[in-house]
Amino acid sequence: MKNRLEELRKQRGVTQEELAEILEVSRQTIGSLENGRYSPSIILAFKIARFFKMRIEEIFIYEEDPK
Amino acid sequence: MKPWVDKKLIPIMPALGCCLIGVSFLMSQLKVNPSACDFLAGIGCAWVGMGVVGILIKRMRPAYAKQREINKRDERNMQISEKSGSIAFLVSSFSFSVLAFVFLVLDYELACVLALCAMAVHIASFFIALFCYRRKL
Repeated sequence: MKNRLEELRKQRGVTQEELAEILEVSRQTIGSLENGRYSPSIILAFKIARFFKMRIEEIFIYEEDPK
Repeated sequence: MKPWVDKKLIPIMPALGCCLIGVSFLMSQLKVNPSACDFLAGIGCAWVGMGVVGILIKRMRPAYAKQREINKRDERNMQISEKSGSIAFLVSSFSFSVLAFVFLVLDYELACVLALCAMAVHIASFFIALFCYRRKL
């Protein structure tokens, strides 16, 4: 799953540490999310969407595995 | 999901540790196996230490304590712990069976039975947890 987290965070001038503090997760989680190594839970996805005042599907882009 | 060592447990840990030390002292007075007394006293001291350090960190470095709390509840950290735990379960199951086999070869019957009992408890706890979570989730 791809996401626009890094782009949106930088647009708003927020650091990883600040975003992590707001979302109550570790900074490493934000780093992993941005790298696409980790997919968030639905609760964290909602928290992120609420923070950026956007819909989840505008931030996270689901891609099906090629068969 | 809450972490195992909840923040509510930290303040009562020194008290629990003192209780264990007291029990070990009583057991030593009653001439119970000295190794068992030492074992209980050791666990008691460790709990007292953990509790006191936990309380001191909370009082003296609140920002660090908050970060520790966030790290404990962080979903990625919890997922990593769960995955590591499942691998550790497989490794320990294998270790128990190897241990039981080695004891059998060495003709240590009691140790072999104990290793098999530990393995049974280990696997039974897995299935009990599985059953509970299937009902809960």
